[in-house]
Amino acid sequence: MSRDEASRLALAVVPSLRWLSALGTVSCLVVLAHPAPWSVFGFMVAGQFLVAIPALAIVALVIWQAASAHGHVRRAHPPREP
Amino acid sequence: MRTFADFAQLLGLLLASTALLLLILAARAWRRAPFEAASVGLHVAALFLLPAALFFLTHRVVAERLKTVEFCGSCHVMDPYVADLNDPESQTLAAVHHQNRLTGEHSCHACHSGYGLAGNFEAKKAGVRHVIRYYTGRYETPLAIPGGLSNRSCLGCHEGARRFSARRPHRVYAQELAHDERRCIECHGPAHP
Repeated sequence: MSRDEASRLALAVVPSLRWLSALGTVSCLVVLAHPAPWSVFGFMVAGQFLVAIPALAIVALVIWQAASAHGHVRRAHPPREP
Repeated sequence: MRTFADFAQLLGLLLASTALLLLILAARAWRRAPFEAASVGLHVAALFLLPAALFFLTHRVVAERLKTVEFCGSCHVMDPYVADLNDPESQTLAAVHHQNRLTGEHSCHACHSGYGLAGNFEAKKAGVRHVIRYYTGRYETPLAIPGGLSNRSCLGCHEGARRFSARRPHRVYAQELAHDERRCIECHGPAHP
């Protein structure tokens, strides 16, 4: 994947990651404010993953962007000769 | 008296609110210039740094809260058991242990979870199953533990204690007790009303 493709991927997924993280954060907020069976259940089966998955994904994206900026990631199309 | 879980709860609420605020700021920065350093920094803070701290804090708080009698009693099906725990006239094992503070604030958890990390994990798995059954109405009363309460729950604290070892039946039936072939509850019941 080239740097441009990585950027396009980031542009496509980052807004969704923000929404997922926001839902996960709200789940944490609810369970912290009111630790009842339903809120704990929501956090255990969904909330914790909604927090963890965007966190891991954003780190992966940042590392990918940094690696491609330093030329560690293979370009899909080599630059043309002048 | 405030415990660590109380402070963690306050800190968690603060972190969660900050994370939501940062998510809004990150979204605005992303719309202006997606790959600028400020935007990337905001995203790393809002999607990774704060949520990572929040994740562990919430787990810590939830793990502590799940052990309290108050939490177990928040399902109505547990009302008679919690009422018995606090009844000064009750002579059930649970009430005697709870009121003499032998099991502290975590009386339900102390007897109904195994020891060590695996015990905690199993208790959480069982808890999730119980919540599903509670909300879907798939349970029968009176509640019963499949297979009965293992002696391990009792022996974890009592085995080797001076008063326990001084009783002849405990020495005579030590092997049977260790292997659940003879239940503690047969002589010492009832555990609950």
